[in-house]
Amino acid sequence: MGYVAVKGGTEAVLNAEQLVEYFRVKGESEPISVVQIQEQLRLAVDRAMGEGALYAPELAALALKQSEGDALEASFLLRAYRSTVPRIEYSLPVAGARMRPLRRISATFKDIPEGQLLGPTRDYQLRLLNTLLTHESSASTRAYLAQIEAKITDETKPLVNFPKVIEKMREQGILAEPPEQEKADADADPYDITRKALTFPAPRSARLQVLAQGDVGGMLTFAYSSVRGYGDAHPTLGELRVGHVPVEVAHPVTGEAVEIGEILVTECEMVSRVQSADADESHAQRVARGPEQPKFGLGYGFCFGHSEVKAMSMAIIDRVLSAAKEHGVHGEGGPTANEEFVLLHIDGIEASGFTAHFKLPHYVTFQADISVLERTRAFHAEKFAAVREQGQAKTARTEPEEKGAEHV
Amino acid sequence: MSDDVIGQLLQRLTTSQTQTEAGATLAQAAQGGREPLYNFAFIDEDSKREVRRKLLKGVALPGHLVPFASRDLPIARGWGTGGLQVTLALVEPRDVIKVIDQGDDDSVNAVNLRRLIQKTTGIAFTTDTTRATVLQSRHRIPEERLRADQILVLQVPMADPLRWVEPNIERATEMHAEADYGHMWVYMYESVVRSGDMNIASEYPVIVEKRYMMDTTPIPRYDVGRLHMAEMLTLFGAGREKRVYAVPPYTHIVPLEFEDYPFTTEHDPSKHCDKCGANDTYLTSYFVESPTPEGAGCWTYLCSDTSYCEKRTRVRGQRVTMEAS
Amino acid sequence: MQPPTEQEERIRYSTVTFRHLLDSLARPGKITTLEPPPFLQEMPVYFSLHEAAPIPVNGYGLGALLTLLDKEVTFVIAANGVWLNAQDALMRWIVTRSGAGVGTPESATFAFFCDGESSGLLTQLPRGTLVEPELSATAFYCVESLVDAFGPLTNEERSDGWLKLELTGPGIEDTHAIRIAGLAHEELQHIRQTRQGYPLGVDVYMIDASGRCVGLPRTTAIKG
Repeated sequence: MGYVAVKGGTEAVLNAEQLVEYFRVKGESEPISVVQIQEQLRLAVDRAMGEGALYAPELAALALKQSEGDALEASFLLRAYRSTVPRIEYSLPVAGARMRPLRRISATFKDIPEGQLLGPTRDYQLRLLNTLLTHESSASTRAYLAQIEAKITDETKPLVNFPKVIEKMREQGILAEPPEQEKADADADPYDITRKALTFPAPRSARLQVLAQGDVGGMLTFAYSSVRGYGDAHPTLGELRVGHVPVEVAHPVTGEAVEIGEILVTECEMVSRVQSADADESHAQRVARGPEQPKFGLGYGFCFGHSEVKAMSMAIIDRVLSAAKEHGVHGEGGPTANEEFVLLHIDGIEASGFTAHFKLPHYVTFQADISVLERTRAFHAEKFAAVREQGQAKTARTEPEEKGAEHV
Repeated sequence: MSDDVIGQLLQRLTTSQTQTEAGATLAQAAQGGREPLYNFAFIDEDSKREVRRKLLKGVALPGHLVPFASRDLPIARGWGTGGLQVTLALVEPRDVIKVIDQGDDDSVNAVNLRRLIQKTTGIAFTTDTTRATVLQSRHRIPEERLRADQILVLQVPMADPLRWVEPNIERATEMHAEADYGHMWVYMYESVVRSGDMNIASEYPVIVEKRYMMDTTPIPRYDVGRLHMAEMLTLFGAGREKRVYAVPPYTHIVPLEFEDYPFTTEHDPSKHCDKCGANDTYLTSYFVESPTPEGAGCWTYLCSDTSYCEKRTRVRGQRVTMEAS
Repeated sequence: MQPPTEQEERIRYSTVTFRHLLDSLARPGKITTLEPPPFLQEMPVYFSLHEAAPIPVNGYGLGALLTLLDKEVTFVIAANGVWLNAQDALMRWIVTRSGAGVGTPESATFAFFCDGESSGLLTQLPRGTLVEPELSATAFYCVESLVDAFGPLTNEERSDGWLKLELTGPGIEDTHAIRIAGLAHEELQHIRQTRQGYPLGVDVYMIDASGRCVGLPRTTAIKG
């Protein structure tokens, strides 16, 4: 009644799995602990969570250990795991303004309310390899931590509330309002891409969801291309924040907001000049509209954990897509302005899965391809022979003495 | 030391030694047991329900692509997650499943998919096409004609037949809505002009019930006719593209063709399977090593449908034995 | 092996019922028998004008409907040619057990007619759009009896209100005929009306008092 093993296929697959495991441990070095990955490779953990679309630092660390550090493989494990976990509740909207920031910067103004908080960043480091790290030990890290702890004074300052830079821009009247359709969508429930297949044109909430779990490499390419000229983005960093935000749900009985925990996130707001006039606008329409009111459009980026490249790329892509939809872009639109092109190719798990699938056997279709190839070759050979025949016949007619004897 | 071990393990990849884990899996299958940690058929009931609702609409709209919220599975996108979700939404404990890839039950991907289905359902499997109630296949329709009590599930890499001429989904969807297939006909015509005949080798486009243009998946042209006025229901799952579609039984399937360039298959009756002798099955070429180290080896043809080929070979063998006795 | 738990039983019932519904829709006119649902003991009732009393809802039909409902979809119910309102006991019964939302006739995913007469309400249901024809509703009718037809109706059958339907289309090899008791004759016209203009159309199931089920997708042409 059970499955009958026909040949060695099953065994081959099982052996391959054993071999993978073997390669992971054959060096016989001390097995890495999940805690070590979680603490000392936090940025890899954050990337796995972001692309796996599951906030679970310990599981992300485990996934990285299991996948031997392969970022896509780790996020794949998390995504697959997410599918098995029941969804018990939806959180209330998370407010970035309520963040306990570790880092908060803006490029728009030199001084911003409550100041620029550099936080933990490698931005200003010289990229020189530090060979001292090869001799790191628990003793050395403990000594270093003791140094830092000595600098922390007992003086407790009140928690600062960092207002959003874009709110100041909004007060000044230089931030553009989102289009009516988007405002209406924002009041409705967000489009859930895990429950409904994506169709185009896509609402902004769907776009942001897809981007938030997108592959950071792909997103960087799209963002980079658009600021290099293949797009209309001349962005300025409105604000970049990294820190902890509270997650709340509505109490099932009272309906009040209850905090269930906090997550570390990166949030980014990019602004760029928007085209204030419609190119097709008639003179009458322009007059009716009133004087030009150039404003700045907003692009939003968000991801789990600490990933500035991802949040910034997302914000740039969001800005470009909004601009393309709303006003039409001037200059070359570029691939980033094509919503379908971006959203359908930005998911790392989909992209890597399909690209990798070319390793699967394709010999049935290849046989079919061969048959069509042979047919096409035969067709071209016939055509060529016919053409040559015509040519030789023509030559034969013009030079009968020389060519007449030639076999045609 | 490590190189030795690697060498040994690599050797085992090509031999057919029984592994203890393989043995355990087979034993589990024999007992009908399944991994209790997972919901029956792995995906949760809500997800199954969504697939089921969409499949019903697919059946009511033969050949039309129905979007569905394809779930992330432990198997990579592009490796059969769509077909898998359809199968997992379908199967009940009394089913008997056959999974093939390129017509072969033992192809590594078929093995992998079968393992997941096995692990999460505990239902019986078979390699015999005639005994299966649900058949999941990549790139082939089995040679043995399927019956009304069987369901065929085909894995789809690229769902929209219009992608040859229109990669933008929004525009392609509008074309389907309006039955505006002119661009495809132009494409076919141009291919005839360029290469003397239609140059689509597989994933051949067909018109379903005179309305929707449909991609038949990378089955050979040889198999396209099996979909027309068939006794079985055929369901198509594209996991990465998040679409399902269906061809009910007794449905008209007409491949795109021109009057003077009719649809042709790859079939060449002068070629025979080297193992069972058939010249009426889909054959693929194999390189056969020479039995002697000095020999050159040669290309030969074998049936792609391995279980059917094996059946025929056994019957052939029995006939010879009977004649001999 | 352990006997199945209640949860496993419910999952098995959902799957088997879905297979019947799939088979019915794929082979219009083929009569399959649904399994009795696991909640037979607590069958809800509706007030039937025909009986002038509350009667149990067709359990087979209700069970089939429930296997397809969850919080992603909406439903509407009609009895005696009138849509039930959200406060109705039957509506609340279904909402509690499925998590599905109460819909409007213009947008509901599923419609359930407790008897074989919609009084034209079927025509209010969504038929999909050219771009998304799958967004149309699926309707269930509860009829008295579904049987194959092997010849013309007898005079007695005709006077008893039996209808004979001749069906053609995808899923049917040539033509298939069935006899139905308990379906109002006008319903055929309503059904035809909702499926003019393929690919738009409402897909229909009919389930009789013994659990026999027939599927009539929008692709089926009905003569009767």
